[in-house]
Amino acid sequence: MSSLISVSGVSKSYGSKKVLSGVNLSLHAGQIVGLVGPNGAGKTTCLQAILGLTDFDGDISVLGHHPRKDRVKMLNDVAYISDVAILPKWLKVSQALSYMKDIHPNFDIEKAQEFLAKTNIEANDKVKALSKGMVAQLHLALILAIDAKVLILDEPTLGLDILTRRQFYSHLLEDFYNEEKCIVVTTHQIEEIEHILTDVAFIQQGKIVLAQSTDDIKERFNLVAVSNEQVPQADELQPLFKNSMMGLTTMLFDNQDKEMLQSLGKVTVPSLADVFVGIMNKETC
Amino acid sequence: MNTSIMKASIRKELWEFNGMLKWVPITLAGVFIFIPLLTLILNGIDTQAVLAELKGIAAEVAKLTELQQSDRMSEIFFVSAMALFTPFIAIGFIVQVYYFVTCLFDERRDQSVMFWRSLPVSDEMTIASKLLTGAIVIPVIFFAAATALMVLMVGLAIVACVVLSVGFDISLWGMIASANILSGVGYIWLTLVPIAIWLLPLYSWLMLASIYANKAPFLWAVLPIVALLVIEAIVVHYLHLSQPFFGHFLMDYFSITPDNLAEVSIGQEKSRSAALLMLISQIDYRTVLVSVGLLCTTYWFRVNKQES
Repeated sequence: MSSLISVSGVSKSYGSKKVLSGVNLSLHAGQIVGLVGPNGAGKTTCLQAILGLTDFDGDISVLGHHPRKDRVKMLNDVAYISDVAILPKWLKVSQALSYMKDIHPNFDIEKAQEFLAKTNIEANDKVKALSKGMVAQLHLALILAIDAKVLILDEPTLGLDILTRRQFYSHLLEDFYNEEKCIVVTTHQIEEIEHILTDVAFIQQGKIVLAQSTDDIKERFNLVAVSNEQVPQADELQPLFKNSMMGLTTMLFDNQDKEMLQSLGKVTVPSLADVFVGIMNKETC
Repeated sequence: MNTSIMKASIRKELWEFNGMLKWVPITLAGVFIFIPLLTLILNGIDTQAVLAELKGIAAEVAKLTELQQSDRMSEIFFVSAMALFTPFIAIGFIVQVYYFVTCLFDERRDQSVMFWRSLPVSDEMTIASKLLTGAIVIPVIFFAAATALMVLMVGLAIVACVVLSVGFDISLWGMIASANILSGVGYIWLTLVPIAIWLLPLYSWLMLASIYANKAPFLWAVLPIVALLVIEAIVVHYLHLSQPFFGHFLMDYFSITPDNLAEVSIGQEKSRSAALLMLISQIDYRTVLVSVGLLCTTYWFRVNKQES
């Protein structure tokens, strides 16, 4: 299966500060990939390099296009939401639809209008008159109406309430996603989207520290509730992370024998957030 | 270059600056219409004075009849039209300067640049559409407002002619015909492109300030020039040079003096084309090259400047 996005040995520095260091990623059709990392890990820079919004060292190919050299051609098939607040305040909804129709060859204005008809947004409304949630809905309507092969979302639900966040992701799945498309999303609220992700890539200090399918991750990592008496025995298995609370220690193990772990305590499948915390705290454990 | 994308981009610029581009010319035209009306209403209409004025007009008819035979009438009309267009051109210029200073800055300030750049519109197209909007479309709006006002005035003049010819048997139709209204207004419209080329270095400099500045783009546009002039003045003073080159060049390039007009005026019958010829004579290929350089730098910043 050929990849839609191929990132190979990509590095980026701002002055002496290295933001990305030898990043390798390969994204295919049908994947919904979460690019997850702490603040300043390089998520946005990585996405901006993929979109051709910043220069970089290394190779990136998006649908066979070089993002810097073929940016316009590439953007015919790539849609991008970086933050809900970036629609200009002076823009009217009708103007946004008309402009998109004029400049985007893959924009379906009827689809956008259908989506907006389900909301409280009127064609004559200006962005400055809309709530933050409504701006997100408008932006999503514009993006979902593009027949794009790749959708890149950089913290798309930042600052939105939980209802709007859930609505946002459910629309994304219902109205955009199919097996021929690929979605890349960065977010801090990984627990909210882990049920929709097919793959995750954890990024730390500009390096991809884990890139795997969510199914494989659930096979690979185990969370064990260890009683205090068995903690020394469990420590010998080098847990990625441990957290003691109310006389019970929870430990995250990477690639350990399940029977062995069951002898230490109750074994459960960790959430992606648990694995993320474990991987990010690996050095300090 | 894709013309439909260019049209959409220009329309987007007009939406963004809709308030300013709609209301400033309308207000200006309104001032021209309502101030005389207001004066008339406040002073009251004196019937005796109007009758006396009509008699005076009748007395002048003989002179006007002579005048309408000559080319003087078209010159008088052209000078009047220029007087009407000048405030529109001047206010339009201020609007243009504001537009160029903010056109690339505002979208970076509100971060909507990230939205615009996520769409398949090239940066060349964006820069070109903003340049076209500022250099041509905005002046066209102000020229159109002035022309609309002129059409209104000509309409009033025609009504007056009808009244005079029907009520007083005074015919001024020949005078209106010899004013060459269309060609007079046409000559003024022809200055549109030469003005744009002449002021291109200014426009491109303002666009560069607009894309470069993270704050106060107007200061970024003005301060480097002021600093350069001050430094040059100090150097000239201490080295006892004859005159500052840069300051002298700027003064020479941007000033339109009666001397310039005299240089291109061939005769009085050619006075209508004099303004056009004078503007063309101000254009220098070197300043056009500098403008191209400034626009390329603006494009470079657009492509490479990190916005977040």
